[in-house]
Amino acid sequence: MLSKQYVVEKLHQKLNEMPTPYKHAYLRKFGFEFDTDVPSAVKNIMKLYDSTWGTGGSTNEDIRFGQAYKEAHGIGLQAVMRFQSDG
Amino acid sequence: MATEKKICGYHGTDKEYGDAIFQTKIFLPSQSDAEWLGKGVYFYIKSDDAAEWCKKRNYDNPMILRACVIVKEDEYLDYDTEDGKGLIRSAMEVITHASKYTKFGENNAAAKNQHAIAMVLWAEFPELKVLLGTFPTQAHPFPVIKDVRPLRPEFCVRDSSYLREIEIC
Repeated sequence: MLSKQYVVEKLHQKLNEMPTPYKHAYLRKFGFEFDTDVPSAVKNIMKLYDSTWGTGGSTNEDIRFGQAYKEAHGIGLQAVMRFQSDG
Repeated sequence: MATEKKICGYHGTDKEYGDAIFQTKIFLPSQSDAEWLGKGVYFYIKSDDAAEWCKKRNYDNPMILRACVIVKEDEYLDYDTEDGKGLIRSAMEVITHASKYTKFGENNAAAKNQHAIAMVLWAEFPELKVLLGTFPTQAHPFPVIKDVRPLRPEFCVRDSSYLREIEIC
């Protein structure tokens, strides 16, 4: 039977090499269902940052940190909201 | 020499399609997003299950075909074995890790996720010819922890080119 080690290593390598924003798209392609609609989540994230830019509600550092957070943990409004609530 | 395994099963269909399959030796793969072993050609291990399938589909002239596939060690995956279960669990962990902070759906997503796991395996492991597994024959009337539904073993073949000994039952 197909070896577990081979399957895990190949999948791990494939997903690790993939830029974070593409991981969800890759998984969606195969039919995985997510609670968050990624395209609308991306729009919401951009809207969120656009609306807070220059209003005192957000600083460049916040935005840079937010972007890094997004890249590190995957795209999704929930992640950004969690980042905000985490302070 | 690599160990080979012969897997045979039964495919229920309408006679019109069954005759064409027998003549051409080509089974059209199922393309539904709800197939638990992904897109491919489906067989039941037991002929009674294929007959039951025909009955459920109300075929006017049901026909059951039998076919076999011969696979090498790395060309199949059996969800029912301990090794197979371990492999699927580990693959799910890799996928979950990659999709951090995103849930895999909460409303009846189980069937679609089941299909998606198989589709990842078919796409990433071209050597894979057959996926085997035992699945419930019906939906639960309401959710419970202990699954008491009747089960039936089945398998999915990547495509017709791997099938041998096709015969009408």
